[in-house]
Amino acid sequence: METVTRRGFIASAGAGAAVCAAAGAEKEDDKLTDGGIADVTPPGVPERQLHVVPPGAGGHRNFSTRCVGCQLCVNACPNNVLRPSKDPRRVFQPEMGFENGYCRPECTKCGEVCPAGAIRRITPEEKKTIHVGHAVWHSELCIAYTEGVDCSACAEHCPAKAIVRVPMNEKDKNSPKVPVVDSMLCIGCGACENLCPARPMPAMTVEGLECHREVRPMSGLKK
Amino acid sequence: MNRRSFFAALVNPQPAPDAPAMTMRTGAHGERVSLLGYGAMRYPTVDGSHANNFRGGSNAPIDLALVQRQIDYCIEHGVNYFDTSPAYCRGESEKVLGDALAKHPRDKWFVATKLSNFNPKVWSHEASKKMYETSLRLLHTDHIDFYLLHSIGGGGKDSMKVFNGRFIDNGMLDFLLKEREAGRIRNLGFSFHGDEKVFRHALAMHDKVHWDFIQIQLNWVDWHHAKEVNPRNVNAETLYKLLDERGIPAVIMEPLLGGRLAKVNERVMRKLVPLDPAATPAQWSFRFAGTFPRVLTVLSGMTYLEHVVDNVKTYSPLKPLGEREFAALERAAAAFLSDDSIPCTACNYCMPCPYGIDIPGIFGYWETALADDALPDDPTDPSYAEKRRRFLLGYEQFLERLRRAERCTGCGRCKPHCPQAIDIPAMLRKVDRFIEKLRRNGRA
Ligand code: SF4
Ligand code: SF4
Repeated sequence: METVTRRGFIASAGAGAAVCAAAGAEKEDDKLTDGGIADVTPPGVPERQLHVVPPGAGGHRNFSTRCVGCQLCVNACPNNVLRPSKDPRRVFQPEMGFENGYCRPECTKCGEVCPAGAIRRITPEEKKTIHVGHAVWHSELCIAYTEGVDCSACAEHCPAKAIVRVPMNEKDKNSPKVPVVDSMLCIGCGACENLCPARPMPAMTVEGLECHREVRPMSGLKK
Repeated sequence: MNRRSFFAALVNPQPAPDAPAMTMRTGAHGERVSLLGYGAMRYPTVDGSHANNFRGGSNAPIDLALVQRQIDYCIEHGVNYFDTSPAYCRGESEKVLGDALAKHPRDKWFVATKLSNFNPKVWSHEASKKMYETSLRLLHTDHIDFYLLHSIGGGGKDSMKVFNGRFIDNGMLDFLLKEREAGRIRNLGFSFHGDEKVFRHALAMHDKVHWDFIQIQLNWVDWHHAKEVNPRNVNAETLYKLLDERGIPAVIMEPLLGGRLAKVNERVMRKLVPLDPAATPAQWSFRFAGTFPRVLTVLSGMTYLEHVVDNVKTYSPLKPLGEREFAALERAAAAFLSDDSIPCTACNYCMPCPYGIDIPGIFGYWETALADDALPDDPTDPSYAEKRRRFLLGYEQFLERLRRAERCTGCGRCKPHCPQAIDIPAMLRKVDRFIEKLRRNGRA
């Protein structure tokens, strides 16, 4: 008799656990077997209101007046960021795109090869402080917002530490967090756009700045 | 001899009549089991990629012809224990093994499979029973020689609840005991990873259940150092002794830690070469696992025929290790362990990551670099620049751009599946930050 009761007790405790385990799972997990690998698609290429030109260019005006369209920088870019524009008004003049890579903080190659003064030579230190664009968040694409995934891809990789993850429920710091971009710090390098897992378009996209500017010197301290 | 059989004999020679025989051990009911067991978890794929080679996850189909040759070779050379699971190889392992074994008489092989009802969706009696019945069907047999509750001890702090949910509350253990009575299961046991509490709990059921065998992870690193690798693990010595005291045959998994112990590591070899300069690391590891008398069989997920050939040789017959050799391996274990190590055995339980990250591929790359002393972790090292260049180049060549560590979202879905209790997203981040630092530290 005693065993029966105990067993019944364990059984009901166990059933409770099953419910908890299922409810606790962030997202329903259909996994029944091991192995294999999921398909991957490269990030989409967003339409930009304003195109992005590389750090050292100063801004759209300087760049478009001086650039002779020689493609030296396009060939030199080790991150596959620079490519000739498809816009007929800027034909052959390069612009930046982030589906293959992003403008890495240690790289200053384009300024080194530009013969026309369209991209000035800068140091990696300087580069840290130059805004060429700013990231824009698209909530409807962000998997943290739409699916509650605990995703930190953009915030983790932002070299300027410009993305803060903020819980959506003020009273619950464990509630799903969404990324908030500090446009005072964001330099527009495209790391977030490149690494965002959202498809078909990244949930973070970079908009160019017409006039490049310097980040507040303070933010350099935030490293 | 026609041409075909000539070539077959060339690549797949029958053992010479006077070849020394494989060491055999005796199971709970007197069955004679080969000390080497074939693990059907790391089959070769047609594109040649497999985690066992640190090539990471793959969707390529299994190379059935290669598998058949291995199984034939095994049976011809006295290997008679074949271990599979409904979960292995994207769920294809059982069928492939069943078809390959069907070409051999039923009394030539023992088959082991498992109740792999990890997902709470299949905890119900009906779903779990269906999994068991499917195994019988796919293996083309009316009885399973060794049936295991697959990987008890998982589930983190809920490990006991998970154990009860998977096997007790749904009446599955009772059902399996009846199946054993009916002779459709010949040996009933479990495999274990994770929470010691659950292991002891299951062991305490022995008086009632009479486990016929238990499967544990045992190798010369985990013997004394499993806890150092991860505080949530249990040293293999503890597990083995508990089984030995009760006279329960032990089936051994991960004798090579997923291949990590088969790799030459200079720090490790320094301790072993003086004793036996010609022995390979894999031979050392198999001899270690086989030396324990309570061990019934040592499972190895052998991807290629040469693995089978080598391991058959090591156990035909087993040359048990002596005390000096044990001591050397103990010193080797200390040399093997590194704070930077990521103890991934490339079992692929975590795969597929929904975002396409090649988890075992990344960890394998890291571990290989660590074992080769090729990790550029010390800028004052005179070879730092060369190491850095090679490490970054290798990483980029070896791992597809969209499957690298930097693309882990940190969602954590993989984490509960890892039997080695690796905090996968945290370790991926560690690798990624290391690489990011390397990239910034010098011009690309
Ligand atoms: S935490 Fe990272 S590796 Fe794990 S499933 Fe999520 S994205 Fe994939
Ligand atoms: S589950 Fe753990 S041990 Fe297995 S492949 Fe994934 S990380 Fe490696």
